[in-house]
Amino acid sequence: MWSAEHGWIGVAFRVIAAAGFVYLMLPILMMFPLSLEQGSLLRFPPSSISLRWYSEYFSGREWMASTLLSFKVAVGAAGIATLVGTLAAVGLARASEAVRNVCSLILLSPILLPTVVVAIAIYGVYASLRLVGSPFGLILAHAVLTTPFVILNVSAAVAALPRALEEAAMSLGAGPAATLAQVTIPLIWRGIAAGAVFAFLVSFDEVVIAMFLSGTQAVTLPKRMLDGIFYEMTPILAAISVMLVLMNVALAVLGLVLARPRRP
Amino acid sequence: MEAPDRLSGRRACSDSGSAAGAAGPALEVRNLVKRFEGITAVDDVWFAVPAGAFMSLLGPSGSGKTTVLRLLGGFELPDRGSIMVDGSEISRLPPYRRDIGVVFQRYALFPHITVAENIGFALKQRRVPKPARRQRVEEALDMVGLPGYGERHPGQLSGGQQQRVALARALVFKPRILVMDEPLAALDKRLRERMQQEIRQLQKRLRITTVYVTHDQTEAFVMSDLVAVMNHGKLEQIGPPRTLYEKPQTEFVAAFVGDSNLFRGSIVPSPPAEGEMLLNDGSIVHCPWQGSAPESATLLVRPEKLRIDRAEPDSRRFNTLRGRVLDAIFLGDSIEYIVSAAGHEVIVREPNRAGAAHVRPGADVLLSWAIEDTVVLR
Repeated sequence: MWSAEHGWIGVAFRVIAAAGFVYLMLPILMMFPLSLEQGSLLRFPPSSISLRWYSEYFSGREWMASTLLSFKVAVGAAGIATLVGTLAAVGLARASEAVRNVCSLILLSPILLPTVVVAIAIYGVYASLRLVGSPFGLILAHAVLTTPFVILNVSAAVAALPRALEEAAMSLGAGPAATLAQVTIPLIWRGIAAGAVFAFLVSFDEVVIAMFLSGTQAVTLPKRMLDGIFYEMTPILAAISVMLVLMNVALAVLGLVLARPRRP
Repeated sequence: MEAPDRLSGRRACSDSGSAAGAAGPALEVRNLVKRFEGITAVDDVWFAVPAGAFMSLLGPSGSGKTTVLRLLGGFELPDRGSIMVDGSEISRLPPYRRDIGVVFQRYALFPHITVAENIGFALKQRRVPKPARRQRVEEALDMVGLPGYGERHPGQLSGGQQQRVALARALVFKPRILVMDEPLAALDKRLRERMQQEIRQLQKRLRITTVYVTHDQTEAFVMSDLVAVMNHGKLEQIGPPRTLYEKPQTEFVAAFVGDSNLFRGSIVPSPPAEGEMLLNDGSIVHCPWQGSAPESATLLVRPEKLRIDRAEPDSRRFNTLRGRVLDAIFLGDSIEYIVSAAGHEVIVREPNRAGAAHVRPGADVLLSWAIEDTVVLR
């Protein structure tokens, strides 16, 4: 690695690295001062410091309704995705290579295809089923979108699990269900939990599918923020963004800690 | 160090294994075939293990011995053939219906539960009530010399202790057969030798029919009633260790089991039960032979059967070759000579005792061995 011993090369390396970080982080960090503006316009630097827009958010009936809906949808979608994705990942690990490749492609297609394509496809089906504007419809759609994240996390955990452990369980008389419940899942739960956290995050932040499916009844938080950009461009968006950034960072760190392989 | 190494077992598993004297073998494998993507890992393997016997599957890596074990355990299904336990066919049953105890190469203890829960796992699956389960787990821990270790986690145990827990876990439910896949490979030499003795004593006491996979010839000989030598998916020969050593049937068995000197040539029968063999260099030796027609063959003479003689021995009982010593290696308990004779580099192992020949490299010597110590390989 580079270190101070490398003289000016080391210094240059650090400057470039720092510039990269600033480039990546600056727009997000800008949200913090913007959210503290007292007036009704996004302004930098803020003309006067206040928490006005934070309290506007917490007292806004529609904002709260959307936030609650987003939580419900994200929890529901993550729940379904975790169940389906875990079973899929465990099954894929045992399938023959050909089956695994084909099934992986199908199961991961929601994140391989452009989201807008997935959104239009779901919208077409939902319109005829009258599911547009229904929280349940959103949960199902988000479950499809977030299942791949669970599959990827759980597959990594399953791959790290020695096959002999499951074979040992079966040789001792445990059938497939008992082996799954008593050996496999207890040994891969960190991967499952990491997948659930990422599924929650993806659903909570998702806006493309939400745009198509929210209708007027089921407006999620990101959808309402998007609407806000068009109709009321106030620092409330910056305030919400700050809170979203903090929540996402906390959950992403949790997810990464869980996903990290543990020394046996 | 290890926990007390005395096998102070009580009756934890004493009624496992089949009833002594039952008709037919406890385990019988017929015509077993397993292919993986065009490679025949197990090629028409047949064997039978009597009730209560300890059989080793011995062979180099890739010889198919582990695949045979996985077929026994039910982790792979055979392409052909049958596996009979006490006369009933099990080769199509899933592992959890086979009632076979398996000790895995790296133990495969469940890391998330305690030693007691590991050992009690099979009893839990069989819905043994908790108090009875606890008692049997304790008996099993006593049996493998680890009393009081139940509340630990596998990660807190040494390799040898984990090995014992794996053994207890595979025996506690009184399986019909015990199979072990190189269970001692990860242990150092001293511990391995001790575990060989312990496993063998335990197996004898429980009289459980056992199949043991190893690539270590000494280990197979120390532990087994029967040794089955495998090579390239085929079973080359099965028999008691002594038979394999004294009467190997193939060159592979001769070379894999112990050191060997092989001479090639052709045999001419000379009744009643003896042949004359013309070696490729023109020398003639006698060998036990019951064939009727001339045949090309390979002769095996073990290094310790050969002697370095000063005087010509009785030619009716001994074969003799002239040779020149190329090298002498002092091994402590014996001296190994490399002698050039009959166009071969012949290994001669002389015991290190008074009266033994002490010759130097370059010396011309007479090599002799008893005719009945000559083995004909076909």
